[in-house]
Amino acid sequence: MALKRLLVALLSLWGSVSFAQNPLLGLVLNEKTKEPVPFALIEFGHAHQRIIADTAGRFELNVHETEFHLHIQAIGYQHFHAEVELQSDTLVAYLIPDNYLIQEVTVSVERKSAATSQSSTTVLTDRSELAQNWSPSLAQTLSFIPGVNSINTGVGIGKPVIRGLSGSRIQVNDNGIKQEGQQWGADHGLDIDPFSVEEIEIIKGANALAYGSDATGGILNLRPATLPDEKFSSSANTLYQSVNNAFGASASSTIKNESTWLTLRLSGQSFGDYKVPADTFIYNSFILPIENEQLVNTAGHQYSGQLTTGLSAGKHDFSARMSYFEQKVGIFPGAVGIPRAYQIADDGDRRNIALPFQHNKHVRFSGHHHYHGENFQWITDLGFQNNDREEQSFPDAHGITPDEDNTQALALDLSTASLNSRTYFYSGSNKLQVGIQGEFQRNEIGGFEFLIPEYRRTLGGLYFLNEKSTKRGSINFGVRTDVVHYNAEPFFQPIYDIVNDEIVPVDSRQRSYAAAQYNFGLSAAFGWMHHWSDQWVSRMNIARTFRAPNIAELAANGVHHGTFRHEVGSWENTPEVGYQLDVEITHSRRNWQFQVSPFFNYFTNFIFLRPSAQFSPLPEAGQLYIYEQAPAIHSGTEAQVTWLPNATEKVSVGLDYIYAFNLDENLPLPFMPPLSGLISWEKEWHLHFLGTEDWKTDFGYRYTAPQNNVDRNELTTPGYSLLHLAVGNEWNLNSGTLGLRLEARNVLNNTYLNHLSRYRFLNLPEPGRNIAAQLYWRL
Amino acid sequence: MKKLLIPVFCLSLFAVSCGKTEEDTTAPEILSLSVETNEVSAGGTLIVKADNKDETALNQLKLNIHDRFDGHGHEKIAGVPWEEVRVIDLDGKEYFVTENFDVPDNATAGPYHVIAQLVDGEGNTSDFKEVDFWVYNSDMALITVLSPDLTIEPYYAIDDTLNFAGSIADDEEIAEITVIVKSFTGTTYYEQDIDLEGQNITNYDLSTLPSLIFNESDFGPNHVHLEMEVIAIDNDGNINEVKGNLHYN
Repeated sequence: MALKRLLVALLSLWGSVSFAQNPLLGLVLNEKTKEPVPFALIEFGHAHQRIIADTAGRFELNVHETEFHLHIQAIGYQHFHAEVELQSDTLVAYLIPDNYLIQEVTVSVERKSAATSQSSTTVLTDRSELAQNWSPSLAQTLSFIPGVNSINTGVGIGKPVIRGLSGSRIQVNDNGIKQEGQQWGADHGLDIDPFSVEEIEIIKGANALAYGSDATGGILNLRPATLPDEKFSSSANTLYQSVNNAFGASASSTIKNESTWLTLRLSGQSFGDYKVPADTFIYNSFILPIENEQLVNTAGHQYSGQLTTGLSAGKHDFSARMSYFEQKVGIFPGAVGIPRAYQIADDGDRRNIALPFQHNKHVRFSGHHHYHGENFQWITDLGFQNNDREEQSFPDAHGITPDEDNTQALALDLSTASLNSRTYFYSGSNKLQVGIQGEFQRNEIGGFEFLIPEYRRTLGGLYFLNEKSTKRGSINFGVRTDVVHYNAEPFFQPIYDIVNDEIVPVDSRQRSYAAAQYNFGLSAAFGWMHHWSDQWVSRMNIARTFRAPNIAELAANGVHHGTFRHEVGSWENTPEVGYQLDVEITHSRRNWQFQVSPFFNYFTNFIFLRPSAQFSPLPEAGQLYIYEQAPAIHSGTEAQVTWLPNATEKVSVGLDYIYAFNLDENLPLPFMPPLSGLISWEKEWHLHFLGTEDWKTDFGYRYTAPQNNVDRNELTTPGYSLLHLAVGNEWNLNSGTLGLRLEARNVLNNTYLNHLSRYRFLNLPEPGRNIAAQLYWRL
Repeated sequence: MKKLLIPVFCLSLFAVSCGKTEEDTTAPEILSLSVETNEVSAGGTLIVKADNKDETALNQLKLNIHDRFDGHGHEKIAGVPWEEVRVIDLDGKEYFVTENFDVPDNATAGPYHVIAQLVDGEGNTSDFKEVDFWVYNSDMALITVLSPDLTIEPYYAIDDTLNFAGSIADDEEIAEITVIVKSFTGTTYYEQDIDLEGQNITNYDLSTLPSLIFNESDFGPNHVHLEMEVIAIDNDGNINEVKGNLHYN
């Protein structure tokens, strides 16, 4: 903490000399980047008065002396001391950034999206951090973040869970447009190429007014990367995983000039059946074999491409994006109906994808316009997407299809057109955001099974969100209104029989009725962020949320493959209204930080699937599960401690916990993740090996507690521990940077069950030891 | 609002015993599931019996009759396998069910099972219980096994040769024949899968099968208790099976 001599003195050349009575206007900047240092703590004078700089690094001092002692400190910077000789009424202090990494740990004000309130509990992560936790499904890749989980169907299919909430309660925005892919389905994965993700902003809990009304659990906001400075840049990633013989590769190139740019990315992955550390599993008191300790037919592949182009013209920025994603993943045959030994016998081919399987395609076109005005910004996103899902399997029962060779069990074809437009008005310390959103959606169905009807949906939303910077933080308040209209078609499922040696329809079963529902809802949010000192920050949000029931909650009437449950919706279901409170408290010191984020939600009428006392009349189904509503409490917390003992090491401990139950029966809500903790230790070694130094090692230990808080008919899950190790480095070559990362996950080859796995009900263990290698290159 | 107060007070991070419910989450149980006879003929009656119990109140029993042809050596399900679902309303804490099912006249012959599941008044479901049975009809292929004589559970010594004898006969056509000799621990010592589809064969002589030689190198020095299965499938998908025991050493 050396005394830093006056950089301030240089500025005495500015302005006129004036004294004392006028307040001194100060500005704190980062010496390297010249960017403002928000919320720096300033201490001055004999009386050691203290004030805090605002979000733009500005402060005002009322000083009566012409010479005084000034001390400025901020997390991530070396302490600043100076003896000031006042020569002007403005003062700029340049703080030198610390070598320590703590800056990266603190979510800095500038990095949040403009639409995200400063008070929201947000985690930012980017491609390099995702690469350390890579998995074929993006949702699974994100689960290293406390509070984030994924519901997995095998290895290739995963959907994100934030604080235990998933499905339509989580909104995924991909480059400005909400991803629409039948996300109500528990075995419907996120059809997004994990390689294409540059930056993700994960907003947990309430106060996501600007993004949508549905997202009562949270938002995953996938943001484009900032463009590189070079005219041409390129990167490639390849990876291999041993647990399922997975190979993946992705390459991207960007060309740009003064005002235009073009980026192309192509990715592909192929994986085989995955290995588990067990050779039997028990279902319904039968012991069934897992031949070669490999789960047959869990192989898959996926391909995707994205082409983005952009143009800047004066105050206007335009960009357009086209993307395509296709995936084919096998479903473990035992998961469809009651597993039989002959069905799950090894078919001799580790990579083939046989029946049953899922085949999904997602196409997107989107356009973006950003107008930069004087105190005014206007951003518009327009998109069109099509999600085409198919489940292929043999018919379980006779008489539901005229063609015995027809294996298209269920086809769902969803087309959505979306428009978001918002304006930001800046005046003084105020930022007012006004936005409208609209969506038109149409669903078409096919296949010999029935789950949800054909429908059209129209969404419209209008919101106002005002954020005001205060001296030490910000306050925001917003209101939003939404209209949601569903219009569904009736459907009669034909029943076939053999008449005169011909298969003809003889009868039908009505599976859905013509129905419509119109809802109008109001949401509101209030948030407050405050820097109590340079060490303590609190964030708090209170919100009233509104979520209209999704199509499954309204009109499902069928067996969802792999659950053996006949799920039934109801047009009587009303929108879910919730009252949410969440708090985040962060305490930062020079080289460690502690953060805790408890939350409490009360839903007046939480919609969830409840087992009924009735069986389904359908032959291939068990019990009827009905989408019902009940008041519910959803609460929990995350906590994280990060410690940097020196410039080359980082230790972090994260914990998350959910406590949720319905107030009707005092039974826990289903499918909630248990208490889980992750300890990780990263270190950079000064070790010269293989032509480079600074080898990085990563050690991770995850403990997941048993989940005994389960709903009726839900299985409890025992606790487990997992150990992960990784080592990696980069080489700076003439032709770019080459990186290597070697990883061992589940090093101890532990046999464990994941409460959120779609295969949990079969007692199938999760993948065993996995050795992974990544080789990447960038220009 | 009283109900709300208790949970609100439970919001400590480590509340475990709070929220303990008096709700019934105990699954009901099917104490036994049986069929009166495990061989019925098409046009006859299958009588299913189930003994059910629950802690608080039973609600329904679902009986699902389904074929288990797959895994019995053929790919396509030909013919008209019998499929039936019946949901029976129950009440009380214990309920004994006897249900009569009419086996359709045109039901395909072969192995079937009854799968039963219970649900109680709260929605708790039991584990599944299954019981197997066979349906016979007049169309199915007839199997006569003369050698080995399965009625006497014959013993074979080391280096003995078993020459098969017998016949399989069908009115229309035999589509597939499978002969397996395996131990009770699952080791298969002899397997013949003969595909005769489209060959219009109505009579098959078992003596054309290769002989089984009881080599010590294959069977080992010790006694092995074996099971022999002869499965015949006709062109309509009717499955018939003859099973018996024999001994080595």
